[in-house]
Amino acid sequence: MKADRFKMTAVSDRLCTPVLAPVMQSRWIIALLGAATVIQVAVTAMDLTAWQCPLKSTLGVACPGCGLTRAIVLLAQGKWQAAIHLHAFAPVGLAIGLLLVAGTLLPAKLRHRAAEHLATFERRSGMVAWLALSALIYWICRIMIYI
Amino acid sequence: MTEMILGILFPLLSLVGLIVFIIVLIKQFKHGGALQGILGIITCGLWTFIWGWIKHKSLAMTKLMILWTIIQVTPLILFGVFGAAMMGEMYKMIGEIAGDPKLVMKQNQERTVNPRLNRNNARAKLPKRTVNKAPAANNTDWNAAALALWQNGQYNDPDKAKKYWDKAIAANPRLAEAYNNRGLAFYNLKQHQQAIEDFSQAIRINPKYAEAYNNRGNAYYALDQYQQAEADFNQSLQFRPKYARAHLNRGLAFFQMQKVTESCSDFKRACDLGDCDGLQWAMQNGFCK
Repeated sequence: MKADRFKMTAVSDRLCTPVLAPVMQSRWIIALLGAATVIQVAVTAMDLTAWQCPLKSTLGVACPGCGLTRAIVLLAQGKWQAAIHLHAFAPVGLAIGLLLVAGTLLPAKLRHRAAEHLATFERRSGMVAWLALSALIYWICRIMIYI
Repeated sequence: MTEMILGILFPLLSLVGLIVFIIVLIKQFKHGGALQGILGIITCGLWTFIWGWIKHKSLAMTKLMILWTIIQVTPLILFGVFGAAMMGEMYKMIGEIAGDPKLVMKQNQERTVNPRLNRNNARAKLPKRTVNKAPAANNTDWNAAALALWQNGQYNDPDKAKKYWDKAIAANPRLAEAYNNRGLAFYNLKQHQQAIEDFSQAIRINPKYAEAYNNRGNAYYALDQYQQAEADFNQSLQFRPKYARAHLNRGLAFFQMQKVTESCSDFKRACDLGDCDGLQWAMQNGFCK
């Protein structure tokens, strides 16, 4: 009984493990992410494909994130309706990106404090797990409706 | 030759990329937890790639990550070398090989089409004025009468035009142009299925009739059958590679199938050939730069 209970706690702990906070802690990871994002967005804005989705390019099956960059580009251009239609998670993606960028701009001390707060929030709410789960559900719905 | 090499190289790179992605993803699930793995999947593998580089030393996968990086960077380098048009073709080829599913988004179904590029303007085809190279005396008048009804890219009285073409066809049932033009009358009457039958008959009579393929593609497009439309535009361009309208129409079909890169590539090609409506519309809507 105890073992079961322990197992449950372990699973829920792992699902609520902070993901964004450790990223915010490390400046060079954000720099790496930022560079990747800038390249991806810039190349997408030029109507080219920068990052090849391994699933889409090989199997022809769009993954849950396919279309997200284009949707973020549209959102950044103020075309929010088109952006939402293309990928409903565009505002979430943009918000997370802005959050991380804002985090990097903070002085080290403040950044660590912000990261700690973010970690607590992620642990309590399981925000990233919920977002990931809803993205998967959204993906399944998208495939079922539009194929 | 280059196309053939790229045609082999691209699917091969994609396949190796997928295998590497799966290997790193398994490691991500194992060492980073389920959440990290799910994030890797929902970010098209981008998060897995970054995570892989962060952990490459501790998990001894430097070589694997270098290989993955090469696979990701190669298409960009090839793009620089061969240009957008060729890469567009390659992506299309991969999509065809992979059996790209028709993931039509709401945005495309609603079509925020610029009024200047409404369906009729974009896809109407100017009929050949010299429809009958050696007209029989008894049907010349019907051809001329029907053609006289053609104005601004469509028949001003498609019902009457259809009747005239009926008579022209009755006089000469082997006249491909007459079927093609009656198909256009059906198209204007929004009787797309009959239009398809007429265009098909025109193609049966003249299998290299590029304009009839283009028109049949338009009819399929009107019925939202974009894959058939694309196939017809491809045929049309095979027989008439510099056919601006077919490029523009195929661009529209690609757009409906959410193949934005190919769509832009076709709009640009159409513009190079003198029809810039598609490119202008796409640029205004932020799809092509």
